[in-house]
Amino acid sequence: MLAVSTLLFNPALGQKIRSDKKEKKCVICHAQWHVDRTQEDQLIPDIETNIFLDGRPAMVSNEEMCLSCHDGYVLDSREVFNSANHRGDLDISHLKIQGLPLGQDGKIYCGTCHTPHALKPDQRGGLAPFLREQVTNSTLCLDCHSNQAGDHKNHPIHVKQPANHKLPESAFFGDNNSVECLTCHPLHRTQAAYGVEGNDRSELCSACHSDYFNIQLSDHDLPLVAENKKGGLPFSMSTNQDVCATCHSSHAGKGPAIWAMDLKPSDGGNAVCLGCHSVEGSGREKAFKHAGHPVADEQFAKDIPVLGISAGDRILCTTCHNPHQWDSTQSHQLSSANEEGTEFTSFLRLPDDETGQLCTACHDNKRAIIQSDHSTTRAGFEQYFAKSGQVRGQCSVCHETHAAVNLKVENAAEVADLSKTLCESCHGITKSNPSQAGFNHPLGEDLGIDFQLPTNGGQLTCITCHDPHIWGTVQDTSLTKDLVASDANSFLRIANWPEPQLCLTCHEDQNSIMMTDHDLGDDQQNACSVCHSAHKAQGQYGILSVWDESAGNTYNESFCFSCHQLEGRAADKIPEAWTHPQKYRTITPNLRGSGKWIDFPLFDHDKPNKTVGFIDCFTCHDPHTWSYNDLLAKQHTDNDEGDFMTSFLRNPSKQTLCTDCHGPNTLWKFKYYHDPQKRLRY
Amino acid sequence: MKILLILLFLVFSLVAQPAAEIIYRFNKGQMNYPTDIAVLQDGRICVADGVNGRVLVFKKSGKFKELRFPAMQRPLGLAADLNGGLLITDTQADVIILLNRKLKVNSIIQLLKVVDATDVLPVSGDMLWVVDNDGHRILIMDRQGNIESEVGRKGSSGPTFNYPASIAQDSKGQIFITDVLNGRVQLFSEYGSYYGQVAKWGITPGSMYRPKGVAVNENGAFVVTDSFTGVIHYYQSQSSKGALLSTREHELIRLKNPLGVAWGNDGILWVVESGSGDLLGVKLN
Repeated sequence: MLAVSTLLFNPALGQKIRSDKKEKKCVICHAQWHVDRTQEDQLIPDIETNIFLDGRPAMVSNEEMCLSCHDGYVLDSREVFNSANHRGDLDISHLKIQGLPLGQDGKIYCGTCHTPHALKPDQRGGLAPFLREQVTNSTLCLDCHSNQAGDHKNHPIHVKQPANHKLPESAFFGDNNSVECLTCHPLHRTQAAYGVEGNDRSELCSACHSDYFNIQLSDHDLPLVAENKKGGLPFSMSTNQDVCATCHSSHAGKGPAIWAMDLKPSDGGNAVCLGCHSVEGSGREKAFKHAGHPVADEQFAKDIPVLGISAGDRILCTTCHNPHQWDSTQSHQLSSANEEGTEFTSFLRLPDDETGQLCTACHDNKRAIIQSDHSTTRAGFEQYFAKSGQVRGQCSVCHETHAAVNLKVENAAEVADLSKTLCESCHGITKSNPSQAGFNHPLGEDLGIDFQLPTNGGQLTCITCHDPHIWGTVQDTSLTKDLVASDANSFLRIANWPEPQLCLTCHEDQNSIMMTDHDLGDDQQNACSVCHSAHKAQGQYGILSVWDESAGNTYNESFCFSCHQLEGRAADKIPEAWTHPQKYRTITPNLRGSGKWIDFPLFDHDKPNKTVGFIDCFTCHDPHTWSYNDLLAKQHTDNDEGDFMTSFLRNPSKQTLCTDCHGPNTLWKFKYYHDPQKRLRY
Repeated sequence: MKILLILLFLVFSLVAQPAAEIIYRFNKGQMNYPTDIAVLQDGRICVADGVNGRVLVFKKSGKFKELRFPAMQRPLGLAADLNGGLLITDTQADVIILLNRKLKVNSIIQLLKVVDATDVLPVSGDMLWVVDNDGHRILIMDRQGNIESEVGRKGSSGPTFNYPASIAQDSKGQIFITDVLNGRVQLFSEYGSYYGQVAKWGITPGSMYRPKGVAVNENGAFVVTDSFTGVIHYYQSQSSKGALLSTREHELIRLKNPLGVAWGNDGILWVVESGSGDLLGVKLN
């Protein structure tokens, strides 16, 4: 009965739907096209002119139409409508939007980005979810945000997602897993973006840039520094600005680092750093002094992967420093209190630790120091560090990076020889370290020759002969500690064994000793060091080595007789007579105007005398030269018997000063000088 | 006979067009896109505030308390249970939550993911009619979730649906189901027999564009909300010609995306205005 009455009296039942299926398919959303739209009592609100496309009314459904299905009863988009992002009340007056429909007052609404006429997501080329253009390559976003399309002003898009990102699974990635606009700006969520709390987007940034997030609590955590630092920062910061946004602007930034602050073009690649680390910047306590290790001007010749450097890159502040990480080992507590850095901290990319990681990354030719006696790990340095309070870095113990002088010497500007002073800070003559007491190879002398060894303004210094980074260029190049020094190592800059190359670099004229009977080098010593000691010599003249006591009354005699004696190496070349009356002192050739002093050097008992002296062994003999005549130069050490033209004699007798006293007898005196009988006869 | 039929038609189609007045407007701005409403036996009014993951329970004074349960994520449909409790459908969590009189969780029915339960109706025999919106059908299940039968399929004629939304039952057992994109209300017996439809799809009075909420009072009068046109259709009975709620001044009452609707024990008609997030109390004279 009920059914019958329903059929009878319900005017709606059995009535043919006025609009056919085809019409309804469109009118289900385009209500304005309904055939009853012209009826006076129709119920559709005025929707004809509330959507515009490029300024003209468009036949596009409005937001209320979208909501009429997406309110949960056809599709559930309640959360989307409630989303804080891309609501219709956005101010878009600064955007140039073309080809996309806008709602009343020119504001965006659902239909600006979406259309049910897009291909379904599961269809080939489909745009999910019913979008007007692709978002997988950010095209749709950039239609409106075209001012953010250019590179170098914005965070890059279309780049591959980081392998270990911490974004939630729901995070959006584009074609080929690329980072796109929606990766950071997930629309239609109640939360604006992952990890964003108010103005603080640092958690979002750190989801991909986790390494950079080590900046927290460091002196580059500027919001925190502003709180901790007495007097705050010398520039204003908007409240609640996060640690990332203080320096970086994801959009409309400056330069590759999307820098939020102004950059000075003249600072080039270091402008980001110098913006703060200048004398008037917020990091003025650590102002860059434009001195020390070079930056900007030099280019790398090779790749240095450990620092992320490619050949051709310029040396910048960021080559050594990582502004996001105070401590590369992450083992030091942070305070944001502008604490003084060490070789482990100081925003260094790598520590200057016992292996000198940072410096040797580029200066790999200095790596040999690590296992040498100059390594800071050896016991002696512990005392030094304790006493001086210096940093312990393998390199920074001696080198200063950001000073005009790259050596760590106090009052460097007033020091004449920096490297000598630095060397002496350990090798100085002190009660506790008497190692260098005695006579040494003279320093500070003007070499007057042009060669490729380092000097102190052209003058000889420690590093002329020594390279403190390499124990030996011939032997023991990387061996460890407390080795017995020899001519083959001893931190000598040039190989000095078996040939005395280092010595001969300066003393080239002494090369004549080679292959003579005085070439006494062995498996430890070269031809020079048999007789000479650069350090701890017996005396300053000739820096002659200390020998056991031997016969002889003069400085020369005692030295020569150390070999030319019965027990000596030159036992078969012992002169039977040799003395010259010392009471007759002679004026030297240079004073007489007849030649150079070295032509016939004269001596006191313990040293040369450049004015008046007596005749000694070296007066007539030059132990370095077998013959003054090059044609008679010795080619082998066969202990030949010499004559008046050889025998290590300096000059032809006719040019000597002997004639002044000995007149015509000079020749005989000279010839029989070492003959005890005949020398008396004449 | 024809004259008799015409007379009968005129009698039944004489509609006392009620003058309506909005006398309550609660909670402006505190709810976000609320959907459904149910009036409990004790007169309290429950509103599904799904975006905020809660159900609000109002007194007529406007004071409210909120219900949250671990199993509830985004509630959408509500129904007063026959035992004085409350039934909640959640399309995000795919559950139906059964609350007792004290509004404590009694049991939870876990639905299959494919079931999009936008509303539920308790019927005699401890059975539930569950509106499967995406499935274009009604699932009839026991309170453990065992489906005993289903009603309808996708279509536009006869006992079919194109996105069924809400469900209600009159005192005689007849069941009313809004059929959103078909623009009508489908009528069924409690046993699933199809009785026919009320209204048609359209944009003029007597037709519906986006019917969503439906509620029947003890006298058989029922109302249907139209979320796009914003009007509330009023039917004195299922056989009467529909009217639109208007003020005394014959001004049509237009709401901003009205959805769920329910009769209060005192005759007040409670309507969820989803677009504004408000709960409205409408007095009909």
